[in-house]
Amino acid sequence: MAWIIFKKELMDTLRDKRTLFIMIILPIILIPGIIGLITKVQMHQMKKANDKILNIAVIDNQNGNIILDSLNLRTDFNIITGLKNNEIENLIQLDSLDLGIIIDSEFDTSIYTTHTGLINILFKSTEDLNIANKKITEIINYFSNQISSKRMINLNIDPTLFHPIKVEEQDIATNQEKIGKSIGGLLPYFFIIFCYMGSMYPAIDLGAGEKERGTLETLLSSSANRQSILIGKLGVVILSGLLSAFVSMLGLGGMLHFYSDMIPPELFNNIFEMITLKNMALIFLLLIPLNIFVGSLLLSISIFSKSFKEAQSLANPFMIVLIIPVYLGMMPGIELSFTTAFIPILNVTLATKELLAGTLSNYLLLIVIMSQIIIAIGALSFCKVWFNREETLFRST
Amino acid sequence: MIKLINVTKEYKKPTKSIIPFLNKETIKAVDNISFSCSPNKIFTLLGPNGAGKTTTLRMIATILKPTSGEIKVCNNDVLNSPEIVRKKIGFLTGNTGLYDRLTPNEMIDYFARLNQIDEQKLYQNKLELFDLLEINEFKNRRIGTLSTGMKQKVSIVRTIIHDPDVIIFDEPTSGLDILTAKNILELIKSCKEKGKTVIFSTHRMSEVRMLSEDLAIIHKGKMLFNNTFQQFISEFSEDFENEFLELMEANN
Repeated sequence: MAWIIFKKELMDTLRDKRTLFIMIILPIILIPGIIGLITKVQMHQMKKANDKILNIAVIDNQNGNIILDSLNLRTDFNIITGLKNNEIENLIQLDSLDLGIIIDSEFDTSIYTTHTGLINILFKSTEDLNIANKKITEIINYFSNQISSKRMINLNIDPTLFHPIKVEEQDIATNQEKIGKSIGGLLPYFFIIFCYMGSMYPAIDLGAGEKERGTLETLLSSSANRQSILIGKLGVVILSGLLSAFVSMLGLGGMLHFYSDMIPPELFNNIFEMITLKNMALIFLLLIPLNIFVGSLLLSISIFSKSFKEAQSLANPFMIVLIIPVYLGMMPGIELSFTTAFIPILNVTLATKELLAGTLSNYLLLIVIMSQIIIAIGALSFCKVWFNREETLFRST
Repeated sequence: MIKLINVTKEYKKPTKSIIPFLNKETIKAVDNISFSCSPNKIFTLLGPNGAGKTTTLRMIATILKPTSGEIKVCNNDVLNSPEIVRKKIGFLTGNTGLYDRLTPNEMIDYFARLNQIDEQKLYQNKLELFDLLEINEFKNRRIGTLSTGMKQKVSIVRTIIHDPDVIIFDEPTSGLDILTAKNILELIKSCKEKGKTVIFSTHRMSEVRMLSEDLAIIHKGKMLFNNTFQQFISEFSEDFENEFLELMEANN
């Protein structure tokens, strides 16, 4: 009986253009397309800002030739002189100038007599990724270090005297670990979002939608028992979520391939080396119970609601509840441990990161899977009880 | 055959409390009613909106459980054998919806299979009913594109495709135009002629006058009258509408 209901609900769901759009078109084309486009625009903007010829005004007060000569040699700077302090401020405000440099009238005397020379830099921190300020600061720091070294040599002081400790870093983390821990959290993030989006419309349509159409009574008065009805409906909701999440993974994979020119080849190879059949199978093993959990709760919300609209407004806050633990899992410093392995959703994010980094221990994996299965069974039981309550099915208030 | 003995249905009283689960107050939607419906007769449940008609019919159809009392459909208890009861009933309401994305053909197949009739019988019944109600010309069109009249025909076939012994009509003509309502009333008559047990609820006097043989008047969950329609006319007067209204007012 449940199979008959499942087949009908699946056919009905797959004929709904809105559901198909959210379940398949959105994850496979639109989202990867948008992410790729945003990345491409960002990279283009960064390149444009780096390549831009910067208009830099200088008031030198007949000082600082050592720096000015260096600035004049740069092809990416257009040095403007002869402006007054307030004019520079106004022009920066109007975006006609990128930066202003005011060298103190005592600058040369100060730096050649072991004092500190003063340079004022005027800029707008909100403009063009702060590139002008970064470039000028880099040049000034270079000269500052040179002058320091010269002063020490003149005083017969070994420059190493002021560097008593030298740190030599040796990162023994493999590339897989670094990439896995940094982007591994994104996988469950996308999965949960698409699993939720893919399940939401079928869940609402098969619960609240059934009430709104007036088909619920018809179905309940047929020979099918409530358990079969619930299994049939839930099966479609869960399958829709899984399908949507799977399609989103394909979409993201396709996006990586399509924009491969934007990713350094070494990183690209490392990412593809992580996506092994075993890793994918284990991730799905972690995510299937999560999908059952999401589907059961969405269907429970839908069954409780009197209309499509009410179901939508109740389901939206649920998304935030789901996403918070995923975000927590993506934060640095939160690791998979005996305690965090028991926290639903968070444990999936952390376990996926460890799995892709190749550092997931078997016993923690087991705890995470068990914990996921327990919450999935809990959500299923709740949904079953909920579906059998007359107050839920025929709610009047 | 339907038999109700001292049936009561209580609901939780609607509350505006912020913790509705703690609400223990109840109201009686149906209060200790008893009646029986026999085959070959049309039993009418008459009452104003909110009288408890729909609750009573939903309990007979096993959609709701009675709080107390006993309901039997073809000698099967609704609480102990709900699945057997459901196989024996067809349920049609005035606001019965259909699945817009299915075709009439798919819709009928779906409900026939849910009601576990064999494929041969499904084929025969469908052929006969589609011919009778002239559904063949739109049987493969999506229901969402059909007119109200066409949809109502599909609803009728959906209700009787498994040839149930008992047919429940809950205000079947509400919201329908005259022509479509006439089709439904014809169906009720033909079900009776085929020896089915027919129970229908309404708040329209004209329908009672046209169809009713056995009559029960229900108001605020309580049974005010339960006998034949002829008995009602002879006991009170010919002015059925006025008598009904007076009965309501006396019990307000």
